[in-house]
Amino acid sequence: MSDLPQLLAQGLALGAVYGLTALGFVIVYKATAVINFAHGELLLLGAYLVYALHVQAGIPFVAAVPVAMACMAVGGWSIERGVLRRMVGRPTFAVVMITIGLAIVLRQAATAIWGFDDLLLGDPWGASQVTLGELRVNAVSIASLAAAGALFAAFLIFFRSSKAGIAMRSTAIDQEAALAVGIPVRAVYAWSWMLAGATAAVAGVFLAAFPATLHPALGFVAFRAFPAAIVGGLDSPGGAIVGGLLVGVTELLVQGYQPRLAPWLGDNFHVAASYLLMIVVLVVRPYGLFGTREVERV
Amino acid sequence: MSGRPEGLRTRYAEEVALFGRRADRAWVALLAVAYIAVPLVLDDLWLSVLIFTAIAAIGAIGLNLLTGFAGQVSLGHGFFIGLGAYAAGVLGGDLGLPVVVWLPAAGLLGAIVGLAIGPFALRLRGLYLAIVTLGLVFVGDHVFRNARLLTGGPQGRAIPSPRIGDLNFADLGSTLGVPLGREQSFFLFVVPLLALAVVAAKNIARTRGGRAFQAIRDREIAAEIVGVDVARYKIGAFVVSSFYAAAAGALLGSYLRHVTPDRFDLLLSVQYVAMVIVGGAGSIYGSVSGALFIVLVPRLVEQVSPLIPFVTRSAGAAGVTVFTLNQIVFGLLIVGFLVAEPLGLAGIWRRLRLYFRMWPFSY
Amino acid sequence: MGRGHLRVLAILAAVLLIVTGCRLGGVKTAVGVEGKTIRLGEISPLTGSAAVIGKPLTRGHEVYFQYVNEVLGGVGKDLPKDQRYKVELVTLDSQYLPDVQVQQYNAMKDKVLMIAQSLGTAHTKAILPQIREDKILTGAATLSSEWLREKYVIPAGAPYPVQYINAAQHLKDQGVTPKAGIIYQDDDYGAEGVKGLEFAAKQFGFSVVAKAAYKPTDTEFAAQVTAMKSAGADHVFLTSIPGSTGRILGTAAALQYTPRFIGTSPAWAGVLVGTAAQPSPLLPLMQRSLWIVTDAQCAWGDVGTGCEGMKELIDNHKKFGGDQPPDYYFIFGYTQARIVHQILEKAVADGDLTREGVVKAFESLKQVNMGGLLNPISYGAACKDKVPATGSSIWSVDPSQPIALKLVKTLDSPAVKLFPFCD
Repeated sequence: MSDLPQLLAQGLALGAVYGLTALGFVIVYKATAVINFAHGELLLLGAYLVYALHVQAGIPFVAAVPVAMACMAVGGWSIERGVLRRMVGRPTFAVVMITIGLAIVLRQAATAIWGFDDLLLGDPWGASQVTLGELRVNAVSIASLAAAGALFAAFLIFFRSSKAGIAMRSTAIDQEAALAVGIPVRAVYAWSWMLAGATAAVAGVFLAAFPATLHPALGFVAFRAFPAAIVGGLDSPGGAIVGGLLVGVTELLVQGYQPRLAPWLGDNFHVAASYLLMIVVLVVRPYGLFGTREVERV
Repeated sequence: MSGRPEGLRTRYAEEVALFGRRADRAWVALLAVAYIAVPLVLDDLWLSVLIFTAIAAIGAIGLNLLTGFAGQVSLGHGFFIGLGAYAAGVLGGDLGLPVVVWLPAAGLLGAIVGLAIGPFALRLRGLYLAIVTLGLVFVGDHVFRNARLLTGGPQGRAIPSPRIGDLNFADLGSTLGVPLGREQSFFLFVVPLLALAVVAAKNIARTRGGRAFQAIRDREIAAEIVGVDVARYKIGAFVVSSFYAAAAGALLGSYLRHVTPDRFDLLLSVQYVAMVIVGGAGSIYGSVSGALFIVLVPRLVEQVSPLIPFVTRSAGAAGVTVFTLNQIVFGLLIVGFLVAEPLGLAGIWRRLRLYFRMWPFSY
Repeated sequence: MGRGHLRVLAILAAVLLIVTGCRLGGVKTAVGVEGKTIRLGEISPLTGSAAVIGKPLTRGHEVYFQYVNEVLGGVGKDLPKDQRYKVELVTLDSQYLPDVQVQQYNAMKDKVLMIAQSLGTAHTKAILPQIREDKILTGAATLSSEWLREKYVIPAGAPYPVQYINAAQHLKDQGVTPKAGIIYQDDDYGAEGVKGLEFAAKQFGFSVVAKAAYKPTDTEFAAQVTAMKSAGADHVFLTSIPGSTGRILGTAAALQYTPRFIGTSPAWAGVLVGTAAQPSPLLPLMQRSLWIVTDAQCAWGDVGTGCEGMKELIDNHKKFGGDQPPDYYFIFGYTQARIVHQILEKAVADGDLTREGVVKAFESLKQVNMGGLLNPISYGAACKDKVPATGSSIWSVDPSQPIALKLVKTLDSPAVKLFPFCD
């Protein structure tokens, strides 16, 4: 069907956003073994900050985004420092509950400041489209793919070559050994949250960009990105991007073809579909496509 | 007090007895008196709070057995609650069965579905398992919205009151001719069910099953070496917790009279996890107190917050209204609680009891 | 028992005493009326995702009753001004959870004369058994047409099928036979839209060629829009909320698909056109192809003849509610509060300001002038008498107007009365 290229293009664009979301997620998990249920709210706040800087304060978009990223990095740092540091050594689900409680507080704070109405982000791409062959793609889709790719490349270089990146990887592999070697593990935790905050800001921008609107329920999209993080492997940043693209394309293809080919599966099957995809992947590879197998030491 | 120190047990029967100590028996007597007195004394608001608490406690006990005792993190509890509610609707409403049939049957249905989920727990660990159970909520939501014949689709369906023939437990006033309101009737109906759930769970926890769960939670490999059949007990944990959840869901549906798929979302699962953690993982009574906390505290915050100055009571005003404040306070309470007391209310209770028991040597 | 246990028991008893609202004792007069104060209940989602509806709606109630208290002096227009009844609102947050709705109902039921607002279909259904038993008149802020069959529920506004039937009438009057498609939210709101469209199709002899549902949290609408496009729908009806409307239009633009879009009243919010400095890129498309159908006869700010109600709303909004931007739900709440006021006025005039008296007043309310906010409304005891209004207005997009809507046509199709509300 001639719809296929169009659906694929949109799937990849959505997948880029999912990948960005999953990336922030995975960075925190890899360093601290914590699943951050407040990640959706970090996305939300990042988008609202861009709105506040660009639409309310009039700062040009190209400047507003990096400033929002920096603010969200600080936000991530303060969450880690203020709340999570006290939870070191506690059972994981207690920490998970804290992130959920945080999510509630952050969402209420966002609505207290910006209200509940739908807002327009005012991004520069707007409704402009790019023609690739016989395909017309929204410019914003290209931008989100480019941003996901750029961020991933940046992280790759960071983790491979920079001191901080290597420190983070070491901490993820073996915390005690890292401490023994002199790596400031507490600082590594803080950095990972800062990176997650910054990535969330970017993901939030693309989530709220045209033709979408900015509104408080945006944070729930993060739950659609969970399958992306899992499919890729919870501790693999590359896996997060791959997983995101996979989930995005699956969702769009199911959206496009399932109503015609398998209507008995019901309306809006695409949401359940990404979770079913995740379950199938996990049955075959219990640690995701690129995740490292947990070795349990006796 | 007799000459013997408290806690000294000389026979195995004493160890295993549910209400061995004199204090425990006194508590049971007190609760029995409260059961009769409370509906006559409290008004409908607090009665409905207690009814929701009792229903939630049944679900929380199930989740505690799975997550607190057996260490299997599950975010899918909301799905099983919904399953139970819709089962009650179909069995009690469409098929017209009495509550003695549809309530256990709903639980059984939950157990069977839990049996299907169990094998995943064998293959996946920790947070991967948690996310798969999260998937249950989304897949379940999809099924609830699309199986219109059974669930009524997005508009939901009616769930009948608990009745046996003409005896309607939600309205004992009209069926028995006694001056009892709806809330009072339902309270009298649901609290014995909670007691039953607690006793059953306590029995599981104190005996082989409970010990196997805890062994799996603490060190799975060691448990396996010692001879615990990990597969059987992991799946068993899912089966038991899903039974409890579905039974709680059936009661919830029956009390609310009408359910929609919106009610059984991730937020519901999260509320139950909160109950388990705030109450104290690994403690049955903790589940009950956790449920009470999660249901009661928002109402208490609402009573108290009008006294806070500078906060507007106007609904539509921008900024922080008293209503937003309630939510923020509640979120902060949960976070604060978890940071300050990771063992939950049960931990606090244990410390309190120890303090009193050891007095005046409580230091 | 050791002393420790006694101590704990003492604490427990103290807590029980604090929490007890004694059933025993206490004298009850006419419930909800204390001296010259009438108390009305409001159970609304003031936090959470539905607060975007609950807050402006409740503000509409607040502003209207503030007007009644301060400008009119209270309820009872035939009484001397110092004898009139002041209205006090008891507002509780339902968090859009039926559980909480039940608890809040229990919290307020002994304090209020009637409930002016209960928002949410499932939520109102959860308290319906008690409403029937306690015989408390309740204003349902949900547009399910089921409430027509309930004795103690005031249906609010015109149910959604009315809007689509009138829109279809308008198309017929223009000589257009549409190939209709509908994109609808996957809940009872959407279901009402589908019912209305299918009925209109049968009445006016056109066909519904495509139907597609979506979830409110969806961000992608490729499937739905593609379904409309491939079925060849040239008129797409939208039963949606503003965020989704924007995305649907955006997806259609990206796919170069430009049918006529016809949205129900909640599908629109003024913010969709953006600001003067940053207009939405979709503005040209909206101006060309989008119609919105509402119950209100007058636009925000239209203060000509027949729109005295709107003038009053604008004045009061300026005086009492300036913090609330112009909003469809504010108008809805204000209009609902006005209806409740008429019921209370009738009850006072009949000399019966009790729960039964209020219900009787509701059932005998006939031809109440709404000043252009709605067509004149009538209620009755039987179901078919309770369809409050059958007219709708069709609007096009115009960014120079306050909610960016400009009136195209007001009409009242005779087909509306044929809709099976009461089956």
